[in-house]
Amino acid sequence: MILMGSLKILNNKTISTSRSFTIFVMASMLLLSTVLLTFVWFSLQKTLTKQRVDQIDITVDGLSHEMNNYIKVRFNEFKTQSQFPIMNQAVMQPEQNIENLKDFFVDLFIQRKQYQQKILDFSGKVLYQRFADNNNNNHYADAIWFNTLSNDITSNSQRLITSDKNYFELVIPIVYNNYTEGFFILELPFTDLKSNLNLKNRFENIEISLLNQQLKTILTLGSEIKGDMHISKDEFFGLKLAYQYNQNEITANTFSFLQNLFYVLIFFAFTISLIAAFLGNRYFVHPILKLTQHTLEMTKGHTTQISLPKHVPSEFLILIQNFNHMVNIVGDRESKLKLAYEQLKDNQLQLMQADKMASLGTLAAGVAHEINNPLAFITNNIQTLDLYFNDINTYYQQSKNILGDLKNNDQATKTINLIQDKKIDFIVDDITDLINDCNEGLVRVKDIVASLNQFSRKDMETPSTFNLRENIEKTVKMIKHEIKYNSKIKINIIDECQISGFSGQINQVLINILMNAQQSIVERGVVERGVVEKGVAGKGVVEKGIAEKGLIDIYLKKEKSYAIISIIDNGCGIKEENIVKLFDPFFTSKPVGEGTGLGLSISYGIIKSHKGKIEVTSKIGLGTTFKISLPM
Amino acid sequence: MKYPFIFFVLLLSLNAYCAPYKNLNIYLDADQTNAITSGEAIYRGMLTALSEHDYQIQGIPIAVIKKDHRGSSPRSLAHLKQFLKDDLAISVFSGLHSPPLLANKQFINNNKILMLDPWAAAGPITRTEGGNWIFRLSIDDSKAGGVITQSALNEGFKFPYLLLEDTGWGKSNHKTINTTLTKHNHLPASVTWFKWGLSLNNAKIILRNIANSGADVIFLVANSPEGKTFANAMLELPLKHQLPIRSHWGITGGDFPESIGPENLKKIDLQFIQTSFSFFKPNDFSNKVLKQAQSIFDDIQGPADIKAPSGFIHGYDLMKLWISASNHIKFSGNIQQDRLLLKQSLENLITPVQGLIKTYQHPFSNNPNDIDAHEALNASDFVMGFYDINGVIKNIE
Repeated sequence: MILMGSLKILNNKTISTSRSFTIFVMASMLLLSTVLLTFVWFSLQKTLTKQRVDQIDITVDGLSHEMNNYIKVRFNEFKTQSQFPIMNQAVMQPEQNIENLKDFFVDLFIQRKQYQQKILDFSGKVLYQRFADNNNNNHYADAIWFNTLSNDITSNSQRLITSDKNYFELVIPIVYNNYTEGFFILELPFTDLKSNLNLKNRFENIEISLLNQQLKTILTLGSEIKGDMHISKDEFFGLKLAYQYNQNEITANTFSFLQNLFYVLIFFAFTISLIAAFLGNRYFVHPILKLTQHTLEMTKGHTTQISLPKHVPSEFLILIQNFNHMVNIVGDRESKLKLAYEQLKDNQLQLMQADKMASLGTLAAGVAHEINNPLAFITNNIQTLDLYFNDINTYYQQSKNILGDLKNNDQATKTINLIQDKKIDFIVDDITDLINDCNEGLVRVKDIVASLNQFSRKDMETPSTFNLRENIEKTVKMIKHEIKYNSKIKINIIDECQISGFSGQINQVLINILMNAQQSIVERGVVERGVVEKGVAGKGVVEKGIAEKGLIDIYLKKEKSYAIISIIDNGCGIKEENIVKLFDPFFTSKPVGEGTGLGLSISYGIIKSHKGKIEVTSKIGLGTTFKISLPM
Repeated sequence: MKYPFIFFVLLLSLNAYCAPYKNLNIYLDADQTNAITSGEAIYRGMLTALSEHDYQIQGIPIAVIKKDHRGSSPRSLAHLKQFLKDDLAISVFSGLHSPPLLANKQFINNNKILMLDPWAAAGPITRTEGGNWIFRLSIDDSKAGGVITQSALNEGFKFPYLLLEDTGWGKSNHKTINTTLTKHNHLPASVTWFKWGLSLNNAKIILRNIANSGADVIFLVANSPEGKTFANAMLELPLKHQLPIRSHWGITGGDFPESIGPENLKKIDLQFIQTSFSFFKPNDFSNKVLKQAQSIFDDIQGPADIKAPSGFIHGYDLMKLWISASNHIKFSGNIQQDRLLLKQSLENLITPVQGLIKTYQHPFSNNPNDIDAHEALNASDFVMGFYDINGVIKNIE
């Protein structure tokens, strides 16, 4: 959706992959940051609280251990003292042993200190205490531990610590033969605890309370805090530590942390976006774009492979490799298709040409046939007319002579004037020319009809096997005199080729093409050594510089099962748009009246009848190549 | 109709008049834990004597109430205070331990608690100026130490080592033993005081030191717990450190033989002071008493079943004296007054009273100049005894 929105921001215009990717990365980073911050906001409070609680738990646990050790060490010494025989004796027979006890206590220390210690009898009455008791606590029968330690016969293994006022009270029953006969009390002041553990100013922002077995606070450390009380799980000597911490402090810390986190996230989001965009472009977008470009090129027909880039994901590498492979295949197929197409086009052209030729042939035959008849009687009539005119001319001349002889004859004079007036002499002369022209014209028409017939009708020769080299040589010999002034023919026989067909027709083809070649050379212009002038045909580009004389090369070679005759000239060339019409009947580039335009079309028909093909390639200003393929 | 009713009322009144107390309590304030055998023995002796009188005196049922002080003087004091609050409590019998009596002697005498001591042997117990309410039928340490010492000297020992518990009892014996030794021109090798509850290792150290001191016999003043500790300690020492022990009878107040075991008893040369009577040298009277005891206590089949026999014997004899003295007074219903009457009756008891040890004739007196005024026995009543292989106490003839 963000991507869509980003696109919308760009006014619904499609944007590049690169920009999309960048926007995507940035949007993702932004979304991620937002989600992360939101999540962090809600969970961090909990986490920080838990962390703070854990931290406090560790502190409290540590303190619990310290306190435990503090009491344990002293308790162990205390317990050892309680097992001195004098303790038993003192509680069993106090009157006799109190003085000894006093002396005994003079040298009794716990951790090199002398604490308040008391000996009680079985009833809880104080028999002895080291220091005066300011609280006048002389009887402990009401102490909460008293009954437990007195009545339980296994109480020799129990020792209970309670605390009251400002000290810990350690009580050990003095046992004789598994019975409690008295009690030994040790009082550890809280001041001593604090001093030993250095508890002053150790706890900031937390309030730690020491709870007795009834969960009543007996000692408070740290700052005064109002909050929920958390009681530690561990206990030592029946005591537990509880703590309260300042939730507001945590909240403030949370907010401060989040703020910093926000800035850091933004920075990293931005940096990562840039890096991701860069890397994304490099490793994703760029290959895609390249692929796109090449695909586009491919649509245009340029099947170029993409060079294998370094440092792209393997999938892209595979894609590119596959693309290149596809390009190869496509190119190959395209080439084949193109070839096939060309061939098809060629075939189609040839087919069309053949069809056209066939149609033209039929048309020509039809025309020739239609023309032949009137031509015949016109020719006859003209001949007859010529004969009649000769007679008429003879009569006229003789008549004119007669008239001339008739002097002062009005009728004669009138007739002579009329002859002059009507220009009969001129008419008579002209009629002769006219009849001659008609005869010439008829001859020409006859030739054309003959050509058309030739174009359309099958040759009357009988087929035979002949050597093309001989045809070429013979043909060249025949026209040499025609073209020697303009062109030089060079015969290049590479292979001896024999074909079956009509030798004469082949000669005709060769003559047509050679003549055309010569004509194109003429059209290109005078060729001498030196600057080539522009040809008469016009616009072909010619190279300035030294040019050869007109040259016509004839090649004969074998190509598979075909004999290939190539006739190459360096004439003016044929315009591209004319090549397709080259073999059309009556198509000619010569001025009107010069050439029938049937030569190449007849040549096409001849080659076609020999099951061969004729192709032409040409470049304006450079020349033309006719390639005749004949099956051997 | 009227007359039976009147008769009935008169009969009730008569009954009410005849019974000043619905019952009387005798407290047995003894160690029923650490020296349970001694406490139980005293109790059985008392009950056997009472049973011969149907557990009642002058129609008043007598109950023996056990109080266990476990050897603790303060506990004993607490029991004495209970006694004073009990308007039916007529007397207290004490137990094996001397220290509670010594510690509370002043309280006893000041509060006129009629105390009868069948076992505790410390000399000062019954020696008080200005009113002595404690009567003893037992070994008196003012004599016991001498008996132990004389016996040992008679055996040929020359260098006794005094191993004494650090109590008044131990101290009183120290004095008397030294006096006797001095009288015979002997001096103790040395003296070691030990506290109650000493450990086995401490005991071994002491015994080793004693052995190294050159002493040839140990005079031991200890109760059963410490006696066991010393015996076990000695058994763990090599033979050269094992010396004969001549002991006060405190060692017999617990389960010493059972704890040491018959095999170890054979290994220890131990003798202790006893009173002269033994159920193993019976007479008609003692047989009758034994039979009476058997009728009450199912576990007493024979003399061997009477554990800590001194306690039984003394408890019986002392109870007999008390009964005799009680029968010589009329209980008034005022307990303090009746205690006084009883005390006076004891001091003036001239009627012979048959006991196990002997027939008592005027056992006590109120003569302030007589240091034995409240002592029922004397040195002639004491002998040395030993544990046989079965842990039964036998007197040395």
